Amino acid sequence: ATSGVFSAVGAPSNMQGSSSGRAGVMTDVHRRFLQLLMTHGVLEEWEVRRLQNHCYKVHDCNATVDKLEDFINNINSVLESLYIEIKKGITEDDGRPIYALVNLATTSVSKMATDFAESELDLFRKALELIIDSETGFASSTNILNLVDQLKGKKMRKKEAEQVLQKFVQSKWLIEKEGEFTLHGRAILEMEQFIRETYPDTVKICNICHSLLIQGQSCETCGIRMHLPCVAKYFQSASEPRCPHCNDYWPHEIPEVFNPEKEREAGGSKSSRKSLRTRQH
Amino acid sequence: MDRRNDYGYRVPTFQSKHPNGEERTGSNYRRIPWGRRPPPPRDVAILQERANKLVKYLLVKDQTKIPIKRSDMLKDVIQEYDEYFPEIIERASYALEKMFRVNLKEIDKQSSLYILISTQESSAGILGTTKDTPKLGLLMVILSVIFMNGNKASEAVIWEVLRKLGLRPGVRHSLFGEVRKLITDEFVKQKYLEYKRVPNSRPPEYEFFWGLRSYHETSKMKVLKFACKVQKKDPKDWAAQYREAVEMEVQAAAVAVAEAEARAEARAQMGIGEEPRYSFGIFVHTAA
Repeated sequence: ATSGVFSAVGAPSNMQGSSSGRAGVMTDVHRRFLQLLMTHGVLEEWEVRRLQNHCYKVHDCNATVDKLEDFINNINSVLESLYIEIKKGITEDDGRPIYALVNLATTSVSKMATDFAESELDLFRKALELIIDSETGFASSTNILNLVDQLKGKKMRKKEAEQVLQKFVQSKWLIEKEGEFTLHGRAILEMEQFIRETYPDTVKICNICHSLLIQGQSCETCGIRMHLPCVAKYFQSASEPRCPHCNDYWPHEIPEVFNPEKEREAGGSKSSRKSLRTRQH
Repeated sequence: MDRRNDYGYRVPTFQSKHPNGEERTGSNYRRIPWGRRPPPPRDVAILQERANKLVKYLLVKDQTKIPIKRSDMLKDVIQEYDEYFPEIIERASYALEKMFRVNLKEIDKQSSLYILISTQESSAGILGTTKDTPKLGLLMVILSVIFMNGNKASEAVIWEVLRKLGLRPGVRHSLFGEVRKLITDEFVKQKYLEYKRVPNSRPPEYEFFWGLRSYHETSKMKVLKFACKVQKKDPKDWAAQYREAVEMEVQAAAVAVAEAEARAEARAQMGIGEEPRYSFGIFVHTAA
């Protein structure tokens, strides 16, 4: 892909002839979409579609709504010079597609946001390390808070740290379940590269999609791991699920493949979803 | 221009290949005051690269809503190209408008503070609320009390209103945290409100005014309409406020036109936007 600097030294940026086709054209429809996506931080696919329709309605109601993928690629080709892009991922617990605006270059913890003070970012770093090290992908509130004395920057009490953790949940960097914390899909989208570079020895990878794995299932014989949605897809039509690596019987419950149609019928509310979390013993 | 200022800045001891993503760790860098270094030659490619970096920097920094200092931009992004600051910031401003429809505004010329303002009518609520929605709702209430009261309101009056909403000083709220801190500290830092001591008041009393950001992000007309919606009245029923709101709209429109003209002229001089193909790699499409 052409970098912003390359275009700036006078080479025609018209990308016709390259695999990406026509260069990006951004209208008010795209700008409003981008701004709202930024405001929300991360959105699920149904929200993104609704947002896209809304933006068309506001600015250009007679036009046919672009296919979502093309719409987003369009925006991304314009954003290329800023080294940011709208990235699509799936949630680790139930395979819902999500979208967020992320850095193309590696995002370290310090670049996450300037919303947070040094000590708060360090708390996130500590939580991140516990999460990566854990078997389940979850770190307990207690274990995180016990590290409060080791934080850089201004001294933080446990009570304050609890509130900071809630701030991270509200900003969609962490998810909380029953007093334990794991990474939000948004954090994984944004920081996967950084995590893989910074913790190469402890990081877990999915055997199927080869992406970063925080939550998932593992083979009790050979230890390979798979994301829950990857398990769902891989064993979808298998009568007897077997480990792709060692062929041993796969001992865990196989989750269902995410079906957006079924979601809409069920009303799409978060509380009605069954989420599967595996405990390793 | 700030050429006379001696900013210490960090010189990389290696040539960074990547415009983005490098981590500035203190140990690799020497400190050389900018004043002593000869200014680098004008290279549009590098100026554009700095501008692109500045765009991301501003977008991230604006998340806190605390106005961004020019000195921080110079220290963190512009660095040795400080002489070209006006052009870099104009290029960044252009990109922000064209990609995000956001205006970069200097709200305080004396302290060189900048904020980002969305130039499009808000699509608030289309996807439900964000984490900021409750706070902004509360802010709207306070702004309307201030405006309807003649553009200032004593702390006592504000608390009277907040108490009716079930908010009390010193009591932590699940959405707002400690409300007194929110309205006298956080909103003030973000320039949504001003909190000033009433002169010669003993014991000291305080009053609230609109902050600079509020003037830019909303308008007296919008706030008047909000207040009237709550009271189920017509904005014209509040004759004095209505007149004032109309006057402010006229003034704001005139300022906007003048600013747009000045910006267009500056950009024409700097060659920004004339050849979009070569500057950004984007085609600027003006929707009919």
